[in-house]
Amino acid sequence: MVTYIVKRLGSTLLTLLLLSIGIFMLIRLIPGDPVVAMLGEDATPERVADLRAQYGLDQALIPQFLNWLGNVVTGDLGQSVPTSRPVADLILTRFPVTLVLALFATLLTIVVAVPMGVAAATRRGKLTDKTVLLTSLVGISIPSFFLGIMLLLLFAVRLHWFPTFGFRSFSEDFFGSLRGFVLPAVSLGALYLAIVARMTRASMLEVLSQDYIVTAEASGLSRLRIRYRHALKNALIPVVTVVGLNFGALLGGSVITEQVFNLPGLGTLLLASIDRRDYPVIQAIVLLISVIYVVINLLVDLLYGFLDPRVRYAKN
Amino acid sequence: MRRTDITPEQPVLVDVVTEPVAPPAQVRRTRMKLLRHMSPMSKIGLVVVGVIVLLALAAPLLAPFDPLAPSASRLAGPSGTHFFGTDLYGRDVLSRMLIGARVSVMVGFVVTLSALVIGGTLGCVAGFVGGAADAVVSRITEVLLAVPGVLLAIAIVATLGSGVWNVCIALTLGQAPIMIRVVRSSTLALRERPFVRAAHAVGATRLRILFRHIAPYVLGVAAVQGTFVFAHAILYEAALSFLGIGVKPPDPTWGNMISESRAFLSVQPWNAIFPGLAITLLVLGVNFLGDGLRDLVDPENQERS
Amino acid sequence: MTSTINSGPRENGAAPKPLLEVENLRVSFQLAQRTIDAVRGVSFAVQPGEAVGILGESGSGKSVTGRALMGILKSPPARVTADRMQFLGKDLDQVRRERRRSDGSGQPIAMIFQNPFTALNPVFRVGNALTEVLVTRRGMTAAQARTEAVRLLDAVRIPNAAKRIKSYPHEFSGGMQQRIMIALALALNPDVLIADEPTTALDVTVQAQILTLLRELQQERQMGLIFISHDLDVVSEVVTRVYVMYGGRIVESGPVDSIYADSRHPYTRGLLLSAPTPGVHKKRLVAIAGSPPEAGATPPGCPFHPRCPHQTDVCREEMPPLLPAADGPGVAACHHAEQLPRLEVETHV
Repeated sequence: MVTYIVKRLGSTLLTLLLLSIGIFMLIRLIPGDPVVAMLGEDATPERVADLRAQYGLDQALIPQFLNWLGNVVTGDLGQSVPTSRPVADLILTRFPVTLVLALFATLLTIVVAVPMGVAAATRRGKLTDKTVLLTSLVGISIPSFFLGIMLLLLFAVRLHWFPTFGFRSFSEDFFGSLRGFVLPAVSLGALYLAIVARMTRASMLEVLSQDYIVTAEASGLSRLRIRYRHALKNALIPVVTVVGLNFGALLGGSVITEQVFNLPGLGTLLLASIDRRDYPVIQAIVLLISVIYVVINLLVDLLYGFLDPRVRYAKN
Repeated sequence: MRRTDITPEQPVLVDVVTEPVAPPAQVRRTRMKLLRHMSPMSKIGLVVVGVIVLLALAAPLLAPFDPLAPSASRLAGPSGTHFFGTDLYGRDVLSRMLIGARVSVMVGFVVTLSALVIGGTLGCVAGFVGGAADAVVSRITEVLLAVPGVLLAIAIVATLGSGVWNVCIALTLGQAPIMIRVVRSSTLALRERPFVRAAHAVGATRLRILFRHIAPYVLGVAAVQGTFVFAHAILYEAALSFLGIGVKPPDPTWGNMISESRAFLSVQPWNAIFPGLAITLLVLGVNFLGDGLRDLVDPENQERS
Repeated sequence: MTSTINSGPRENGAAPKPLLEVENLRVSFQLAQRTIDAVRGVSFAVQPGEAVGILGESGSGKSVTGRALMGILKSPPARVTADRMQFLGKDLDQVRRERRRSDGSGQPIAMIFQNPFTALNPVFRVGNALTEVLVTRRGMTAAQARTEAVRLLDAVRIPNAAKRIKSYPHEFSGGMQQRIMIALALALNPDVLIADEPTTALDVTVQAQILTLLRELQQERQMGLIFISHDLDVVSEVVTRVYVMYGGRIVESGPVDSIYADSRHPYTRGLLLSAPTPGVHKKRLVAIAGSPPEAGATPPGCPFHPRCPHQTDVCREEMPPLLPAADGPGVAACHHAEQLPRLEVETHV
């Protein structure tokens, strides 16, 4: 087990390294001179030279990269081009919003999707099952921004249950702020929910057809006990993996959702930076979110190994 | 009962959906049987997708008005002349949607084909040959997949610039790794199967094994994944255009039509609803089709009665 | 279908109440397009402390019979009817319900299955699986259950029971896993144990151990035992009486020795002849022509007639009744039972 963890860690680090190389190279893929692209056509030559020096674009490639990597690891993500503010600061102010959104959506998803999947599996072929299946299909087909806009239209504009604009920070108004996250969390989580519900259903169906369920029935245990202790425990193991693997979809989707609901998170920052050609910020956000995603995948992987006794106590 | 009589020329396997069928002639016959075996749901999906593709192809002929020029009062609701109403500039929504369909469908096909070709070849090679090639391909795949899909697309489009072709490149780079994974794992699994080993033992060359024995089955798995790629491509293109970095106005695409409609949402919600429903319908159709195909190809996923 | 309960020679006075008595059991499965009659009128009995075998191939309905007895068939699509299913003279279902309600008396019948690797829940420690049954079905406290669990593992001869209580199923070998299943069944304090092909998935050496264990346990606890198998030699190690099933019906039954000595049904005789006997050199193995019918797809008349070397017209039309042999303790369902030449097959003991 320990060797497995070490191997996975090593592999992950290698991936992260290659990833950072990739992101580093991204800026160099911009057609034309990246610095000119950032500053615009009418930048002064001094400013251009300044920025080039700052990015070390006048140095050779490898020292450039190592320099940048060193900075990143110590927390220096460079400076935003238009404002010269440290990128790290910018990200720190925006990060909580994205985090809250993602977590809220995840919570909503798990709380709704897992029971949905279980209900569908235990009532296989009946109306509940068909409803869940159809809802899931719609959930993975509807674009999240469209769903968001429709939710806004219905619940905020027409019914006034939720605020349309005006994000409030938590320090100002906790519950008001939370209300402001409901519609975004739902529109972001819909896709996630559909995937998890389908997976839970499939996993539960698979488990219910196993021999050990027959053994439990032969032991005269109650149906509820068999379902929720014997079956669910087994069925949830692959579900955990799916939840983790698809968290990336959530992180990516939050960019879109923030834009729809005008939330001051990393997503809106990213899009604004793209508009402004603020490449250091773009780099930093992509790197940050990717690292989070990779780490979560690693944790989920290890968690799976821990949850399944066959892996945890493997004989060899 | 399943019989596997193996000779190097014709591995004949009886159950078409549980074992790979090798020689191409048999594969062709199987494909035709597919249409009969498809579930009603997947047939609906096929029809929906087919209709939209046809509409997209015929769009320039079908569009009643010029999609780029105003033709009536602004923000009008659905009416006799303008079935879907007009947008914020007075342009006919239906015409714009028809042209928008072309973009969606084209992006869908381009990305799917590219992902199939690139992903299929690399995945097959990695799975079959193994060794250094596999290590390299797998590592690149892992790095690309480390960036969540939408984000990768955004980052690449931010780098290369907007426009339909850049969007296609970005989406292909995002979808091909998944295809590689799927094809690779399928190839790996098949490589160890007795019938492949038998073919090898009798002296079939590796290329021959790849093409005649493994590829037909992998094709099925890849096709199923292909439908998901198609669905993702449409959704991502719409998202990128919605965000303003994909296909930019005035060229209509369902995504940017929704984005443009936002400012006047409370005045004329139909401007957002129609394109949104169109995207949902198309993707739903593709998913119906994909689900149905998967039930045919992979019996482990089949709903057992 | 005549009902025949095969019991030993009657004592003077009242006959002992059979532990388990089944008369005219029928099980059919209602599928989308058709109905499968898996068990078509099966009757048998188990006396207290007796071990009987049910012998048959796949499709004969033997496993379905066992599960019907246990009451674990899913009621649609399965339909279970019987003129009588009695436990010590009382209706079996009723006994089951009563015992369940009283929460401390376990179950009248318990069952062990063919594949021990997949029959044990992989996420539960062995001890927990046992204590769960002991607490919920035997009304024990957690502490009592823990002690009893160790005792049960000891009873099935798992070494180091107190320590291995904490292990997971996959940490045991196949033979051990089967023992754990037996322990799980014993935890229900059953009066009858049904063993459905318990050794088929195990190595031959392990097989012998499990058979010995079953035999000993059965005799220690004076449990009824129903041993379901396709292998007469395996069955004969443990039971004294055998019911042979084919095509959803019982085609022959009797004491093991008399089956070996003088079977009166062509199918059984085919089985006996086709098994190689160690130490006996045969020039050629005899096989039964054709293959067994799929469950529910039995031909009209005698289910065995398409494969029977002695078939005549009457065999194709009429179902032969189960009748006692003229000179022997067994019963057989064959139109020509009496005309079959005497057949003696060497048994290995």
